[in-house]
Amino acid sequence: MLADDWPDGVWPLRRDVPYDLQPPPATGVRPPLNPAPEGATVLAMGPFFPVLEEPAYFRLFVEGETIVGCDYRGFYNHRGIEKLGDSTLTYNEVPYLAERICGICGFIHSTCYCQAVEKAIGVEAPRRARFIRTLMLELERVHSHLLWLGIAGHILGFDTVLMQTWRIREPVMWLAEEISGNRKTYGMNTVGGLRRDLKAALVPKILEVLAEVERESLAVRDAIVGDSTLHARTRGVGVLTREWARSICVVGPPARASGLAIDARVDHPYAAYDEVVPRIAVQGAGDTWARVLVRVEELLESIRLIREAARALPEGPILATLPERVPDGRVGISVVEAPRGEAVHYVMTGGDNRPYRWRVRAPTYPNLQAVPAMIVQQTIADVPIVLGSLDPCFSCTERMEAVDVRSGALRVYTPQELLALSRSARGGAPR
Amino acid sequence: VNGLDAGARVAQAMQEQLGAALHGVAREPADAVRLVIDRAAVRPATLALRDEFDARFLISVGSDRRELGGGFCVEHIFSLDHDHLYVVLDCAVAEDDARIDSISPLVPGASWAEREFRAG
Repeated sequence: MLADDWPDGVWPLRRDVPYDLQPPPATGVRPPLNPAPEGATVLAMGPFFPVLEEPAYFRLFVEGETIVGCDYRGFYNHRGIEKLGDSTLTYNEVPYLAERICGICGFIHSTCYCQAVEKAIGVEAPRRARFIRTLMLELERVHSHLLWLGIAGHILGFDTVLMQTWRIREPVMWLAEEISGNRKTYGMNTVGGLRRDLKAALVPKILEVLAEVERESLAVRDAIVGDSTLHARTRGVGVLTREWARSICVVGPPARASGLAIDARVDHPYAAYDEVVPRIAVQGAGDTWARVLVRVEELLESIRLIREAARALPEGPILATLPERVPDGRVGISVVEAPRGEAVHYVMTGGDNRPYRWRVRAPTYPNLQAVPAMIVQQTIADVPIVLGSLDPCFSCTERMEAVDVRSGALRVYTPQELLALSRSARGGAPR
Repeated sequence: VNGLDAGARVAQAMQEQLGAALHGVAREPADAVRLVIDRAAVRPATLALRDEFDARFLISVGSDRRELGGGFCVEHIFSLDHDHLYVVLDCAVAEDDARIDSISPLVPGASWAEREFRAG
């Protein structure tokens, strides 16, 4: 997807287009949005909306309080990640970029990329590295699902859930920092295994922290499962049918809450999931409550998986021997079950120590496409939690208004003005 | 067909359905089967994967292979979840006639991925 001012006839992913090309902004090339059906009113939600906190524009068509249709505009922040990966970075520099695709799923994307390269060149990470990857991937699911539970509570005005789940989550982040040197589990993965081992002394601490996280998560679960207000706001709300979920290729908890028993850890086992086998959480109702139940079950299942991985952690090397030269023209496809669903990385190897083509699909990409069908015939007030129940993850940017504090005058910047401002703020010249 | 692994079954079914429009089959890496097909056969191939193999669409990849002696290439990647297998439909697209049928009418979830080809 291209920026709204990207000129026609310039193809950024063609090999002869430099990664730092900045063509003059074009006008009048923005794809048109759908008109409202006759008799309906347009209600703009986004691109910046307080309960989503990430850029997305939902153009709701409403009749009174009822939604009768929706158009979507996203892709406000194009980062050119794939282009950087196959034009300027080397194989072992890409993981540092891959883990920054998402602010939550860092380890997931670096694992997925490394696995794709490993498959392409016929290398398998050592067993110990695969167990540590499994442990880290499940730690990310634990903290991500706790984070999501809090946000869902916040969207519904149940801020006690937000406060409690984020408090419970925090020791997991400290644990991640002790293991990886960073709260966000960055810098551990490399093609062929890991750059950093898991210290033996940390294993008992992992088990100790998880015991407390489990105890408190169960308390949260018991507090919310019978809450009549939560039921009123989520049961029968934002239903995603099994058929539509399958048709639109929805993944992760939204798919499993609609009765689709798909999970990359089982469908395409990677890391140590062939030995530490997950139980897939499935619900059938397809509504927002079903998505809550799936994530709560997965949170507890992840704790079990981490325990299993930690107790069965084998000794041995953490990095495979790599070929002197990566053969070119090989393809590897890898999937990793992120908290939001299946991430996909495709790598075609190149002859200059970098991928010839790197393609990434994050789980929100298919899941967002299900939104228009999920909110039809819902009320406006239900839209934030329906969207939130997908646990969407947009790349972050914001639009802004400027207020003169002396006069109180408000000014809204146009897209062209914002682009010019951002370019001049970093020195004016193209990088 | 009995006794064949999933990759071989897919390849055999495609051979029967597409005939000469199936240009080649590759099985590397082991968890994937790559079907090199004529771009005109992309819809029947997609339909067969969807209806006969319950294949789930993952993503599409548009590539510029001119440096490698080809033109452009569109790859549609599917998953046969129960068989732990990826299926890749590999369609060469000529530089001077860079068009291919959309599979979105058959697989609505491919809509955004196909829109990205204009960037590739």
